[in-house]
Amino acid sequence: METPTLRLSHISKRFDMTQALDDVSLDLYPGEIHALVGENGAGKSTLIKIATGVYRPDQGESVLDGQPVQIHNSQEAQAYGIAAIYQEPMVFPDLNVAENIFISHRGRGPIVHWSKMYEEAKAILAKLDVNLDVRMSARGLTLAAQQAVEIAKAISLDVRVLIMDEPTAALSAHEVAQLFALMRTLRSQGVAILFIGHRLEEVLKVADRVSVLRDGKLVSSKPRSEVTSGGIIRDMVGREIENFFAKSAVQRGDLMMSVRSLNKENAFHDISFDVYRGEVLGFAGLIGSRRTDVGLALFGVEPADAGKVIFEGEEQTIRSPRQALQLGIAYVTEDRRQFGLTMPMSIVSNISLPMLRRYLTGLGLIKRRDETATAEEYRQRLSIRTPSVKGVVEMLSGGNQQKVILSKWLNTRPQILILDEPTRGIDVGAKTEVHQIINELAAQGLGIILISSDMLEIMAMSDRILVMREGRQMGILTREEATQEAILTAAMGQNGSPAEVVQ
Amino acid sequence: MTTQTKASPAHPSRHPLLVYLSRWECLLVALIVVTSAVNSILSPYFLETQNLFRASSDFMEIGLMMLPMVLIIVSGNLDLSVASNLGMCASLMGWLFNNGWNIWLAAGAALVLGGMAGVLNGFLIARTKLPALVVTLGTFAFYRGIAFVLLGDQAARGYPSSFTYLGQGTLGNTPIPFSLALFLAFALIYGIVLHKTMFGCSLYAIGNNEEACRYSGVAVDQAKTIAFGLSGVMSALAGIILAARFGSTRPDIATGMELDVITATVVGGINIFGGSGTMIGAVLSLCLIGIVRFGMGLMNIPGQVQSLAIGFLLILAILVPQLGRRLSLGNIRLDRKTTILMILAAIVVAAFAGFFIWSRSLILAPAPAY
Amino acid sequence: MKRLKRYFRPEQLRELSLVFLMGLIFLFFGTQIEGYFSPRIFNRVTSDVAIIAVVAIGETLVLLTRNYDLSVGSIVGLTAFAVGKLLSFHPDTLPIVALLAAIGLGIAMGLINGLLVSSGRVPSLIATLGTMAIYRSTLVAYPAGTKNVVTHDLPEWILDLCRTQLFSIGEFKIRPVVAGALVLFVLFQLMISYQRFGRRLYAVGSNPEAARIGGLPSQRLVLSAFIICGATAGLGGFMYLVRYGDLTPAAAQGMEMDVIAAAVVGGVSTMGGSGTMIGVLLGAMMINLLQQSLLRWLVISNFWVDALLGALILVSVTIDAVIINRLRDVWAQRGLEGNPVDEKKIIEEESLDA
Repeated sequence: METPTLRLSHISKRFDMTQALDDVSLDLYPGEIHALVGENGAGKSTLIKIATGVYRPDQGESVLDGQPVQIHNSQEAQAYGIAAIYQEPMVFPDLNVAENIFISHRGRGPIVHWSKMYEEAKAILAKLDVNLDVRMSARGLTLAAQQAVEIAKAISLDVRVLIMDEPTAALSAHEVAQLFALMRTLRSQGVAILFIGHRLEEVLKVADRVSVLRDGKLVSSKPRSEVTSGGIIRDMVGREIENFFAKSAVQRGDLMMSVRSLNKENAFHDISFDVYRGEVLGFAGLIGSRRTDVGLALFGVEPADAGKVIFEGEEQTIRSPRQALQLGIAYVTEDRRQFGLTMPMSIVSNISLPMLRRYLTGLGLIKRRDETATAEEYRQRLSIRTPSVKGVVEMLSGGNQQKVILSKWLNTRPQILILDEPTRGIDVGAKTEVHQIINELAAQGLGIILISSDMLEIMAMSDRILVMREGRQMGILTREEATQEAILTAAMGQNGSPAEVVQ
Repeated sequence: MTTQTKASPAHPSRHPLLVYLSRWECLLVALIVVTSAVNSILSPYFLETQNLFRASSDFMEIGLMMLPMVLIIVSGNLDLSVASNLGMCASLMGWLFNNGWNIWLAAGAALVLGGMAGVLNGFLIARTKLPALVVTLGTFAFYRGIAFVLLGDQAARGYPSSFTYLGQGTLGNTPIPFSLALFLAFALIYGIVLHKTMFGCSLYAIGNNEEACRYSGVAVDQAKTIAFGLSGVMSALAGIILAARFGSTRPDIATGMELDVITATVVGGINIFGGSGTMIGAVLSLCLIGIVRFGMGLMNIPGQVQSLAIGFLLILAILVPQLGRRLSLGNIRLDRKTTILMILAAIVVAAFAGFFIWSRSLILAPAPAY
Repeated sequence: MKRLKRYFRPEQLRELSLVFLMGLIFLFFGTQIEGYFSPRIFNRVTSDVAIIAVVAIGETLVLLTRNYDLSVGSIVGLTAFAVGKLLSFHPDTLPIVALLAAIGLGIAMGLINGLLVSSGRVPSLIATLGTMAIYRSTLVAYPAGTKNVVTHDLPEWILDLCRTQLFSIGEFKIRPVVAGALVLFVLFQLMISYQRFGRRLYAVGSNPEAARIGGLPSQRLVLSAFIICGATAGLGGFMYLVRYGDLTPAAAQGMEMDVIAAAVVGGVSTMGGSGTMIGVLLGAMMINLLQQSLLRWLVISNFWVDALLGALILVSVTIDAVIINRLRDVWAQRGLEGNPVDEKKIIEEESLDA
């Protein structure tokens, strides 16, 4: 049994109230892709930060090639050959690609030889089969390109342990395939890779070994051959999950909103669809298809340039979120952390934020008791797991945070709910709950627009599916017509012409 | 700026967090008690009520500007231009008065100018999406320049006593200065606005996560403009009171006062990055600063030199909780280089302090006011 | 043209427009003011600019890391005063010792600033607002004989240094301080373009989080920036003493505004990560030129000059925000060559998985 390149041994870490990691041990062998799965939250990120020296563990240690080491900061981690690639872009937007790759190198001397640097950068990118102009500023790069730069940086540092934190979260299928090809190349060079992901299909496709983390503890760690998708889910959630995607049939109600020829320069073009009560309209497409832009336009954050939106018979021009809220349109953003919640504030404050007007006395003062009552109501209704609604949102798991966001928007009593990637980065148990909530909302007569890159999710939850490609509408498929191939074909417009528009 | 975590307890009236916040306010009360004790030992004049009341009027201008500054800092912004704005408005008033205007009309004009200046700040910040710091750095210089344009090297003098009452008068037969009463009234209003109204609530939210607020339909730009507008008006009001107190106005009036205003706010427990803090804390810290300055004045330390203590207070108010938090988390890592540098720095600081104390013993000069 | 757009950075646009603006100023005021193109104004401008420019070098390094140093005015005043007093009491101190004393004192103060910000994690604005007051108070508290530094107490060589010239073109004199400042500028511009330390300062300001996590010693880099800033401020203090001789405790009060204005107008971003020394030099020159021109222009009163400085900061910062950022994004987008989507390949791979 060879020695693992890096062994994280009996790591424990506590933050204030939460025990983020509890006696976790993980082995990373050279030439092996080790996947780590588990609920979103402090657990996995904390482990990464300990491995790369950003945090220090309360207990436990890192063992490199059999020798215990102390890693005090990111430079030391780099010197030991440990590198990490995070979800958030970690490039320097004011520097160019080549500099981004080499900026943290030691021992290259005090003078920067630009032409030599450009050549070396080109060579590394060529090795990765990535086509980027090395003199270009990193500011305009896509997320996938930024990741490529970070990987190039890791390679240039002769990385021995590469940790990747949810690298596929925002990538298109093609970009994911490229990423996996890169990982396999690195694996063949003897790099130990720790891959953290949420999409089980991806994990099963690329991993050699799968470990499951739950509530800060390591629940299982098995080679790929012994692992099943059901088994992983069971380990993650702690119970059997049935009816992974359940969709109850709902009667379609009246027409609520009609969108005709919605246009926005450099974003989307000629988008037309109808939203009915009780119906879930799915928006499918590849990354870059601009579905989010349509949502933002309907919600007034980035209003459209032209086109008609007819809401309950009357034509409306939506120019601001407040206007949209007044009409009864609510929008649940993709990014929880940045746009969805104010993290340090309490659950109550987050839920009541858009609707503070409702809690005012005659004099304009806030009725705190009513606010809290509302929060309690939603806690029950959506099963938000928290010791108290007055607790801070930051402490909740991803799934519960998403429920708080949903509560916030449901509290605005919307008629139409636009959901943008509502189950991204959420563990399976919470995902199911969110799907149930969506079903219930449809049953109550809401019109729902579901934007999702998860093909299975869209196919299971939607009554009709609108497919977009690069800002254009490729067609609307009914539930029966919506097979994975049909959607993909429309999403990529293989035949060169959009599929027929079906109402 | 270097990264710093926002204080995790945010909204002031959340119960488990009330505990933490009481701690900061309690600390302030303790400090007030300690400094009062020290001052009364060092000078027999300190504890006389007459003196205390009279001294309090020295700080009411700072206090008036501090109230909207709390709103601004809570929302994650900063207003560096308050003192320059004060100078500009007071200069306008003085210039109009010199040109024959009725003093009250001139004062009214000053208030209008202050409001406009504040709204300009808010507008620029909202439109250019620049950090408030940068915009108010520019207006800090610009408004002071306008003050000099208005009054040049003249001064405005000879205000009628009905006007100077604002800064020098007391309520009826009591020793309570009018300006103190005015400040307390405003403090109450601002406190209610901050803690109990929708506007105040949204300021906390904006300070915590501005983007999320925009997506939640909160009128972010409007709130910011209102806060900065209020700051402008209060600066003008402070300028009026200050001019009334001095009985005259020069264009360099209140130069450097923004240090005191920001210090009072930060020492009051308002997180410099926004999202937390209470009005009570701010009022307490104003009290503390007043006591410190008054005590130093009694020891004949000139105003400019008093700023040394204020500077220390400002830095310590942020440094100490930071260090405390990091010590408790075990996050302090001292490698050899940093330790050496820190020892060097400590020596330098000790040298400065020693030099300062030694110099005190050589010179005792009368304390000028601002 | 596309090639040009990709390599032609926004900073260079800023530098060119500053040169252009200065040209306009020259032309305009040349028609308005008698004897505008005289050597006297040239000498005046260059001597004034030299001091501000030198201090601006250090301030720029701090700004690059997304920090601010508001205490430079106080550092200049304190070092000028301290060295002045030193020379008054010990007139046979070697010039080089006096110079090093000034720089050393500046380094000490920069060190305190830097430690507060990097290790103490105090936001730089607040920390230097505080030290600005502390350093200035220390200066004001200085006892010892007469409060002020007076020229006739100073040794001869100081006064000579002010008047001598390295060389001259007709009446246009190039003084040692001016030449020295130029040399420093060239050196520091080279440093931030070609030296690893300088490049890393850009990185820290560009994305502080990435710097911290990505293997850069960001604390040490920020500390170094503040130390160098203190050093240049100390040097500026020495130059200030040479230039003005008579000093009061209010010496160089408010200089931080001039320095920051020079940097900001010169294109240094207030959010860190971008800016050039050339731009800063041009910015300092343009501001001073404008100030001197307005002082001599009889159409408006002198008091407008200060207001102008503030207006200039506002205008350049606003222009930065509105125009240049938009241009940057457009450039970045148009020049983008991400991974070309190979459609056939996707379908093959997807069908393999299905």
